[in-house]
Formats: sequence, C-alpha cells, structure tokens
Amino acid sequence: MVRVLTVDDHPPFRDAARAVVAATPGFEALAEVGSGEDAVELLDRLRPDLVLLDVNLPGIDGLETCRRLAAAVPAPLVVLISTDDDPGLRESAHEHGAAAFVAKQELRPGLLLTLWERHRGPAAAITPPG
Amino acid sequence: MREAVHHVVELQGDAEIVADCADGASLLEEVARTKPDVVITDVRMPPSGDDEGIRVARRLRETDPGIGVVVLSHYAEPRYGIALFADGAEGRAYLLKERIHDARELGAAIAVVARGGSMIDPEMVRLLLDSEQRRQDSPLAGVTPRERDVLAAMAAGKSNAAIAAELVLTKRAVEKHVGAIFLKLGLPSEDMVSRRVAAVLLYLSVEHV
Repeated sequence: MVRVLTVDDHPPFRDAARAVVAATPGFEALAEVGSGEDAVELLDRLRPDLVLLDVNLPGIDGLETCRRLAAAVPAPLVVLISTDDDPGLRESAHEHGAAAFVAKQELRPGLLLTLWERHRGPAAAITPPG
Repeated sequence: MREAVHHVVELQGDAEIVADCADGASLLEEVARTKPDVVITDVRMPPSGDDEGIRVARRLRETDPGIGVVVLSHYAEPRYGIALFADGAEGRAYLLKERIHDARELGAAIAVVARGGSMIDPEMVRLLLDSEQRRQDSPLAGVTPRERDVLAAMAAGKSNAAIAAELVLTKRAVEKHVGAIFLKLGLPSEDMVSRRVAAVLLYLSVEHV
C-alpha cells in the first residue's frame, strides 16, 4: 500500500483528500495534519510513502516544508498542491524536491496513480513497513 | 489493554501517562483535573458500555477542543466512525486494537492528534466511504439533479459563466445553484475559491470519477 500523508490547513480539504486517496487502488490515507512543522516533526513516526502538500501553509510554507521532507531519508514522494494553478511551479516543482505540482481541482485517483507510477513504479509493488 | 497502552506511551520518550480511568465519568473528571494533551480511550466503557468513548470524544470537542483523542476499537464499526467524525476529524484518531501492539502506530496517532491532525484506520475510511449509512447520509444525497449538473460542470473546471452557457441558465441562476450546493455540502463560508475546490473534491470522491 502507498501510505499518504496530507498536509493542509483547511479541514474540509483534508477530508476530501482522504476520500480521494481512499478511492485510489493500492493507496491508503495514513494521516492528515495542518502545518508544515507538523509534517516535518511527524515524518519519522509516520513514514509516509507520499505527501500531498499544500503550497500555502501558515508557519513554514509548503516549498520550505517540501525541501525539508525531500532531504529526509527515506524521503517520501512529495506532490505540491494549491487552490490556484501555478504554471511556474508546474515547471519548477522538482527544484523544490517535489515530484509535481497539481491544482487541487485536478486531484483524483487516476492522477495520483499516474504520478506514483511515473516516479516509483506500480503501486502494488510497495510492501507495508515493519 | 491499559498495560499495552502504558508500554507504548513509555516507549515514545516525549509522552507520559497522567491518569488512568475506568469509565466515562471519571475520564471527564480526570480531564478537568489534569488537562492532558491527549486522551486514549476504548470505544466501549461503562456506564453505557456501548459507545462511551465516542460520547466522551464529542463532549471534549465542545469543552476542550484542544485535546486530541485516540479511540481504540476491536473492529471498524461504521456507526462509531460516523458519530466520532460528525463534528470533523481534527484532533481525532480511530485505531483498531490489533494495531496497538505496533508501538509506532499508536505512538504516531498520539503525536498526530496532539497536533490537531487526524489518523483513521484505513478499514474505517473504506467503510465510511462505502457503507450503506454513507449512502444514506451521502453529502450529495440532498443535491437536486440540476445542482448535480452544475457540480459536474464545476468539477470539469468550468467557471460560472461557462456553466451558464452550457446548461442554458442565467449566470445569476448558476450562482444560486452554487450557493445551494455549498450549503447542502455543509461547506463553511470562508473564501469562495476554496469552497468551490472542496465541493468539487467531495463530488469527485463520491462519484469516483
């Protein structure tokens, strides 16, 4: 299973993201948190395979959070998300350590699967930790 | 059970047990006395012996919204999840007891709810999405066929003006439909854009588009 951590300060979006993840074959929603600090602090305990990370966060922003997550070992695959499309960030997402940038409206099971397979191979190949 | 929880908490390094309780009433007393960051509770406790842990979690949402609650249960029971998450999933975790011997899992849940995050056993998430109760309580259940058309167009990324043209409606009529959709989906009135996004995601998750 691909275990997904969602980082967003809006609870309605966290609920929606959990539902989208659960509807994706081979994926499960591990946890949802509201800030970049929380994501960084909890990374070692949660060990997510994939992080859906809002760009606009209170405290340390999504890009700084992304750089910190990407520097971890093992590093999760990070997908930056935002309410507003950002063509510049689509181009430069990898410079911040992210696999991709997607607008929240685009987030759906097929896209998650495609992104995961493009970077990490078939989702079913993941073995649970421990 | 309590021994297992004690053991896991002791392993965390940054957590300690401040009180042990055997029923809902003494739990609320100890919460008032010790003001913990997190409560770990069984679903079933005296006096009701049924869903006392959920009742306590909901009560704490009112009285102490900053306290995180980890609910432990033998199995994923949809009605427990529906009740526990009725006022939102922030600061709440629902774990199956078979998992608590995995110190990392319970330790992570404690750390997550202490920070206001949520962690729901995947089986419970699936049941909540798939169950009959979910269908009956579907957030889309109250949405009219016309509003559903508007929602589908929103999900396709169309603006109100484009939706009006497609469905042969006035822009004002579309705005009224969109307002009704937000209301029926129970989306709080923050800024318009994030409500639109939340509505679309909810639609996509329910419709499995």
